[in-house]
Formats: sequence, C-alpha cells, structure tokens
Amino acid sequence: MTENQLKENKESIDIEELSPEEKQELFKEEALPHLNALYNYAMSINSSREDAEDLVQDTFLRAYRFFHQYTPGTNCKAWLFTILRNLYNTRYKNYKKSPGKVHYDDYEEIYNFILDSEIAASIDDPEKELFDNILPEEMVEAINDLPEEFRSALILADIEEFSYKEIAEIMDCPIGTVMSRLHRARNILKKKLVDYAEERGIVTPEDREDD
Amino acid sequence: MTSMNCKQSARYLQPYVDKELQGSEKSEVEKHIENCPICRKRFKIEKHFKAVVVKKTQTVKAPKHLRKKITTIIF
Repeated sequence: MTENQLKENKESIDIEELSPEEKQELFKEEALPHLNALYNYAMSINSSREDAEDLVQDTFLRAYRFFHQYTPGTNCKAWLFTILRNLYNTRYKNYKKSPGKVHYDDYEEIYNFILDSEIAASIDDPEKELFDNILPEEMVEAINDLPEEFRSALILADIEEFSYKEIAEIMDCPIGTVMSRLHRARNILKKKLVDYAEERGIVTPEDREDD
Repeated sequence: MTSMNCKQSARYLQPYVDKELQGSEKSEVEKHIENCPICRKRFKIEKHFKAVVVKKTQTVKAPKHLRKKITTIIF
C-alpha cells in the first residue's frame, strides 16, 4: 500500500494487516501530531515535569501496543486522551472517582456575584470587558487551583475542544457529571478572576484606552 | 417543552455556548435569550468568559527530548 492509498482509505484499513513499516507510518501520521496536546494536558494534571513526561511516554507506548484497537479515520486524539487518563487513574491509586451525584451550584447566583461586584460597576460593559485585563499568569494560577476533575473538564472542553460526550469517555463518567464539573470549574474560575481584578484595583477608562 | 424561565435558562447557557444543545432545547434557549435582557447579559458573560479562557491560557509544547525518546523507543 502506498502512502497515498493509506491516506485515502484510512477508514477501511485493518491495522493488523499492515506491515510493520506501514503501521509505523500510520502511527506517525495519526498519533504523533497529538504529542503537544497530550503533554500540555499531562502537565496540567501532574505535579512534576518528570511525571508528566512519563505519563505521555507511557501513553504513546501503550497506544502503539494497542494500535490495532484503534479505527483509522476516527478521533485519534480522543482515543489517546482516554489512554492517558486511564493510565493516570491507575497510577494514582488513591484517585477517587467522585460520587455519582455532584453538587450543583445555584446556576443564577454566579451572575449576581459578577454583576454586583465593584469591578463590574466601574466599567461600561461588564459582560464584555470584565475579564479582559486578566493576566495569563493569573489565569494559569486560577486554573491550577481548581480541583483536578474540574480542571480536567475545563481544559478538555475549552483548550482541547472535546465535546461533552468525548470528555465523558475520556474521564469515564456520565455526561451529566461532565456538565456539572464544567459548570463548577467555570464558576469558581469566574469568582477568582473577579477577585484578582478587584485586588488589582478598579480599572479606569483611561487604563483601558492604553491597552 | 413549555416556555423556558430564567432559572432553567441559566442551566443551559454554558451548554449553549459550548454548542452542545440541539433541537427544542437549543431553540428554547435562543428564544428566551432573545426576549430576556437579563439572560442575554448572562449569555454574553458566558460567551465572553469562554473566549477569555481560551485566549489567556498558555499551552506548553512537549520538550524535544521527549519526542525523541518516544520515537526512539517505538520505531
């Protein structure tokens, strides 16, 4: 099979029938491009660089070993993230799956908190401008402070752009749990970012014009 | 589904921004946002907040030695 045929007929490929060279080629094309995304996610759930690197390395070794279970043309990124997450859960045996019922915030309360804040009162269009002056360092700190499962839901949804269904598969939990984790993550984050903005001081219109 | 109120709408705003709603849920949220200035404001907060998270979150690249190590072991 030529490289072009490989590309055109991905969905009909049976990986078990490929030669070792073809299998390697397909793995390079389908799996390796997701290295940065996997590393980025691994860094966000591990406390050290070494642990993150080990996790990513083991993910790729496992993915290659079980590559015949992957269906070419389907979402390889989601498949790799699921492997990484499984390894992470196994590695951290003290990792506790959260109980089925997840506490829901009052959905409306967060909006009152935001719109009643001092910082919101100081700008013309709080719903559009409130978070504009957040520094990347503050965002990183606020996300890192989130409980791991909330942080994961947020990163998988907003940074890696997985659907709720894909996140549920990766994290091995129901979609409703994904939704509530995401909701909680974003609401905690919003509160924290409003706090940061207020600590930094109210933004004046002149300040904003300088941006 | 009977007409959505603000309390119900608040639950659906994030899934709506995430493009996870379909059918009647989606159209009910859209109808409610169109008619309710408060929820329109909340929707704008959610939409803008998601954009800010994406924009301000810095991602890291895998170090070269890791890429090399992985490819050396596998291939």
